[in-house]
Amino acid sequence: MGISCKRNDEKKTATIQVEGQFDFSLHQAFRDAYRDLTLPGTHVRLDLSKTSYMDSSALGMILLLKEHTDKLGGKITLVSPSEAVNKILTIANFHKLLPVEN
Amino acid sequence: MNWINIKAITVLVLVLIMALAEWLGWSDWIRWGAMAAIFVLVLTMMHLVKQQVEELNESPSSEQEEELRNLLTELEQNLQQESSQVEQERARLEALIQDAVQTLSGSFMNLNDLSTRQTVLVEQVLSRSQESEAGTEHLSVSQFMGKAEQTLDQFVSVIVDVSRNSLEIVHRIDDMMEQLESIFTLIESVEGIAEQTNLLALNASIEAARAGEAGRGFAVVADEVRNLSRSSSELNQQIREHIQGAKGTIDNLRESVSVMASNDMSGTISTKEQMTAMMESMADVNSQLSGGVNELSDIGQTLAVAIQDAVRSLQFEDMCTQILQAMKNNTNAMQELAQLAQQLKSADSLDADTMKQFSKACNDLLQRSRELDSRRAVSQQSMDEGDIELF
Repeated sequence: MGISCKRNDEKKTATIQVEGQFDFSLHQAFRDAYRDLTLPGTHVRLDLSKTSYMDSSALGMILLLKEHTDKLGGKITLVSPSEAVNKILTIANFHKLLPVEN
Repeated sequence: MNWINIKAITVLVLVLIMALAEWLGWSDWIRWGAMAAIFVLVLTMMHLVKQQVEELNESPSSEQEEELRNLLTELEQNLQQESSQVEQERARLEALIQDAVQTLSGSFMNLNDLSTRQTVLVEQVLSRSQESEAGTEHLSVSQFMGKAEQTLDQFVSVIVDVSRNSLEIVHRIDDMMEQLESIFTLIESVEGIAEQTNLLALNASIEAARAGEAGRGFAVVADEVRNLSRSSSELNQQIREHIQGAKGTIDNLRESVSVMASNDMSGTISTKEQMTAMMESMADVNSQLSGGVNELSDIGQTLAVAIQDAVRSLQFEDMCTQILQAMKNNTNAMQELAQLAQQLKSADSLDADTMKQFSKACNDLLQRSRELDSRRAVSQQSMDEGDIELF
């Protein structure tokens, strides 16, 4: 349960994995996972393979993460969302906003 | 002479029977039976007439003449009977055909009217469905569904925006909390300074007391410094309490914003899925409906053509009337033949001249009949060539 972050500063990549329910209770941990990423052009991979549920606050958090990486001139990729999570991403038109890797 | 005339009559009668059988649709055994009966009758009559004529030729007597007259009466009666029966049947057939054609014609006209009305209705339905597809004044159900979907999308994006903004606020609040925590540390430092000041003031008053009368003024100052440090501690305490209160308020604020940020999306998802399913089923229904209406329109056109064909086919009545009219000529000829027999019967004397006259009249009749027959053959051919279906 919760959030884990693996950074690779040499490759300028970071993988944030969200396990279990992705909702408001994780907002601080999620922000802490990315607010220290300051290298320009950082590519953040958001691993949703172990995410069982998402509410609107999770979508809001992803938008804030996107704004953060945009400021760094980097990008963000959503990785392996489950079917339930994918439905939520679809209804919010996130597929048009962010690349999704299956 | 008589012999030839009787042969001609036989041929004529057989031809008539054949024609009658053809156009009245007698079955084969009736046809052959009638022909056999007439043949036997004519054979008998021939035999009798031949005998009488021979007798007359040899020595025409009043007795033989009387017999001949009787025979002629029988012949006339037979011809009358046959021709009137044939004429009756012919008239019945004509009436039947006319009646049937009238009824058929009426129902085809009715059918044509109904088919035309149906085509008009189908065209109305078609043009209306095309109108609604083109999206004129009426808002079609599919357009409505499209708008509803758009509204739902907007609703979702508003929810996501609210969540995003709420989270931003929460982040600011978190930052503010950190700052408040640092103020607490500062207050603690200030409290430490006040405590040390207090201790210093205590020391100063002790030193003042030891100095005696000379330190009295200093003791007053030390007391004031102690009082100041105590006031400072009290002030610090108040600041701490206020900030604690502010923290509580901010916690409440964070709680409220968190409620605003957290929205369950599953309801929206199921609504959207239902709408998509509805759209799909509606599209199905629409395409089925328009396919059916198109087919209906095609059927209507085919039906109209079929009805026109049928109405054209009803012209067979004209042909039948012509044929029946020709048959009337035949029965007239038979009746004329009967009249000739009757005239011969009531002639003053049956001498050679009278016989010659009778033979000539019979020949004329046969000639006329042949002429009429050849004309009929022509009209028959034209019917075979016609592009008309009889049913």
